[in-house]
Amino acid sequence: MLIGNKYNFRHFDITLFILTILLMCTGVFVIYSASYNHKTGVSEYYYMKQIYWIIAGLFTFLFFSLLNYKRLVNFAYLFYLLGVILLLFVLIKGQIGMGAQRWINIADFRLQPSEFFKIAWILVIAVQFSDFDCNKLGFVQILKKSSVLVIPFILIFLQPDLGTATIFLATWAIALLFRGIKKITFILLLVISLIAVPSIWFQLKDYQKDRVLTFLNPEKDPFGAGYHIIQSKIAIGSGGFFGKGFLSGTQSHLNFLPEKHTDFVFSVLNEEFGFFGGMLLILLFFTLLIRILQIASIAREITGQMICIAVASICFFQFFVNAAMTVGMMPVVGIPMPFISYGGSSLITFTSMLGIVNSIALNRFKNPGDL
Amino acid sequence: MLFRILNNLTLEHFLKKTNFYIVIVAMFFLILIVRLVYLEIFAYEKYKLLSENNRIRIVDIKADRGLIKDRNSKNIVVNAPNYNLYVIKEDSVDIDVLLQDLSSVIKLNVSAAQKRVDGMFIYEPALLYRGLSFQEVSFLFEHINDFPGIKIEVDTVRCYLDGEVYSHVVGYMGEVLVEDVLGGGYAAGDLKGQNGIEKVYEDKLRGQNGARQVEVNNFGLLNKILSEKPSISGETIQLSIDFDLQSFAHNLMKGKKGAIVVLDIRTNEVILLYSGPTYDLNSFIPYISNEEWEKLANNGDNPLMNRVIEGGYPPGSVFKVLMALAGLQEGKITPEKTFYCNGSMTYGSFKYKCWKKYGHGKIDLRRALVESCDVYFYDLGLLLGIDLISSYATKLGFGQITGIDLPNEKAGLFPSRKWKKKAYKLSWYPGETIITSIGQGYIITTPLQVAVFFSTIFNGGNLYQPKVVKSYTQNGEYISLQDKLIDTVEISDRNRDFLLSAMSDAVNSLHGTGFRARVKNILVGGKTGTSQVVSLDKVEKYEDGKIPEKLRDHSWFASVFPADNPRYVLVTMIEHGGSGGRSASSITGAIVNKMVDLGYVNRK
Repeated sequence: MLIGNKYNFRHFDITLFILTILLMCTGVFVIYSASYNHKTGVSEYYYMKQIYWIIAGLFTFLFFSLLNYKRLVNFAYLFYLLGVILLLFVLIKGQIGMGAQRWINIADFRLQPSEFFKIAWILVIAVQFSDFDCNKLGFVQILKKSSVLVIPFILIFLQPDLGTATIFLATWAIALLFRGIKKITFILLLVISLIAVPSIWFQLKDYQKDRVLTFLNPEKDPFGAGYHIIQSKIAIGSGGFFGKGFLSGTQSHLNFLPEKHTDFVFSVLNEEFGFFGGMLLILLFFTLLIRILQIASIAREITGQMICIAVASICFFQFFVNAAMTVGMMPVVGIPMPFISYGGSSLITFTSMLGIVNSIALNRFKNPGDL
Repeated sequence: MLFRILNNLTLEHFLKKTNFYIVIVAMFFLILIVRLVYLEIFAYEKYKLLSENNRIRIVDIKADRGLIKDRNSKNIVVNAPNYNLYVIKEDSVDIDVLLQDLSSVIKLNVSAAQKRVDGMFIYEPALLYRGLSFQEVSFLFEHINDFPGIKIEVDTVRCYLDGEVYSHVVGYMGEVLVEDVLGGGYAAGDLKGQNGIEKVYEDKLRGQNGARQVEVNNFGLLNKILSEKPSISGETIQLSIDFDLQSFAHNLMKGKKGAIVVLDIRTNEVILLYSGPTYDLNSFIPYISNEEWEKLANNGDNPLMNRVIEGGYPPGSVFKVLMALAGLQEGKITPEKTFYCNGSMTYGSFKYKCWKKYGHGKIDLRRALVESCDVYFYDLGLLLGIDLISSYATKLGFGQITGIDLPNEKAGLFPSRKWKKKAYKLSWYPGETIITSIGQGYIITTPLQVAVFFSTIFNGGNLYQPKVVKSYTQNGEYISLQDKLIDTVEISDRNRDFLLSAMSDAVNSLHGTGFRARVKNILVGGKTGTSQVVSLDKVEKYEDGKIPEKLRDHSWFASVFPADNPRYVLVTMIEHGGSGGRSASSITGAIVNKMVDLGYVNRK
């Protein structure tokens, strides 16, 4: 047996590693194009910064791969507490950006604690659902498990960052569904959320309400968010099967798409590489998700398995919502596409999470209690 | 136990769930793919067409700028249509040829135009020329097909009732800078208030641009309006300035440099605010050429400066009013207190002269104010000391901005021990108290500060912030500006009445220095002031009246009327006008007469 062999590199998940690199490289191409200036013939500095972040990301991937994930699981609630403190801090002292307080400035970096909190979150999910068995959960059990959700959700919601708050809610919900819910409880929860939606609605900032309303009826505001959806759809639709070619997108180089290197990367990709490029990215993500879920199946220890489920959920949710937004299937919420969108905090967070998944693969033959 | 291996049954359950999860994910991805198939394959032609000319565009609808009225609701600034020429590079065939062609039709600076075109986003119209004439507009419209890519748009420019009368109050407009475009919600080529009311009330005057979503054809010309958001016009601003009075002052001040300000004591409204020399606001319409701007900015007489709030001068003898007030309030003197003036006062090794060579003899406070005896105030100054003088001056608004709603106001300076230590690292000399006492030395005041100081004395000791805007509209209703109290000073009625009567004697009595400001049947109280530009010995060699203009003293006259029931403060300051008893007081007399004609004051 391989027990006692501390780092067994034969089990290093090369597929996962290569998929990560492929996704991140795609990101650099798209960011380069999105911030390319046709007048000067150069791209803004974003892509270079992203390359630096990728290099840092690879190191974090390796770091978390070599660290036994069980050490992290043991401290899940400590990370959770630290994360909550950071979120509180950002709420009180954070920089105001885009009408929301999401960042802490440290030296020249703008850290987004709500991104890093995702790492603590998947660990907490793993611990909470490590009681996995064939029994379905009842209402009281769900309520008990959901208590950890309340504080971070409210803190992020107050920033106000509705998009990110939904990510936490959604990953939680997926994990819950995965764990299994009693039928009656499920119906009960459905009814409660139907009642809850209107009360949340009144808590939304005007611009958030606008976005949701605009999504429901884009004609309402053809000058603001509705216009962006229209322009994004034109960008994607005009890409055709093979796209207009790298740097040849016309729509995305106009001043029409806001945050095209973060929120609208998928539009840029589709305009320049067409349906072919879009499909390729979807397939890459699908392969990644399958790989993570496969690791969940071959891991023989339940917290590791649940971490994989949580990581897959967060990747899936962010990718899907971001892409669906650009094709006009979902409201414009500021959720970046993992690995592709510009942003250091997000990139480091996701490479860390995949590093943890890799660590689960690496340690899968050890005894449950072994560190 | 946190870490455990699932038993076979549970593991099987887990695997089943995982597989189910994969199926769900695949289904969601499939929805996304179907959507992409629809957009990129089935609707490809439609979106391709839309993207090719970027046919759906957003066009701004410029909001009308708010009007400016005078206190009698006379429109003094309105808008006039103006034709501008724009070009959209992407709609043109060859931009270089187009610019060349255009330059043969209109006076176009090709290299500057090229720069503007280069600075635009794709499909963003670049403003090439402001203020096309009707001939040029009709020519271009007739030959529009020869100039693909051009666009002629009407926007508005300011139209003034008179270009010179209220330039410093209203201020000029100018094109926005890059920062305004990036952060301020302006479009390149927009106009923005650069000075005066236009600048301070920019947000109110500006209004909100509307927008129009349009579909254009292959030539970039409007095909169809898809939707429209109307613009909201800017608010109307009503000034407290009286246009007629302002015009009268403008005529009076022709060829003179200086400032006139009239302040309503009860409302703190500025009724007249004139600074000469002035400039023509029309020279900024539709835009000011570089040469003209250079000429204005480098003019030695500094016409762009608003002397009422930006000009800094020693107040001269006008300051004696404050000295008298401080002496009386502090109980250091009574009106009956006398000093002896023999033409000068010797302190230490210096001799401080009175303007009257042979002296006033034994003199009391009233006569000292009426005849503006310097020696009396030297003595009073030494009695009070700089700390008391300085504290009164500061409480009465000297050395700080008045806070009027106009830009670039200067604070001036009032010296104190602390200030001198900081500025010169030297302690205060008593000799400096002596010259401070007659408003010379380090003191720098603006004419408006003097007006506010007078207003504070005669309104019972309340230092208010003056204003030139009476009201502005909000949703069609006029909203008045609130009074803002800055500080209060204790001034007894007896002392105020004494100052009033002494000042009206200064105008109306036999030896009064301000006799030129006399107005028939109106009691005007006033104090002259002469602030030295150079020291006395430099001008002593010239005969009276032959002193070169540059070396002549600034002439002040600060007045309050009607003196029996103070309502208005009028401060006149003429640069190099000689002694205050001459030019400033005669202008004051003329303005008061005009105000009587305009019905501000009733003759008895």
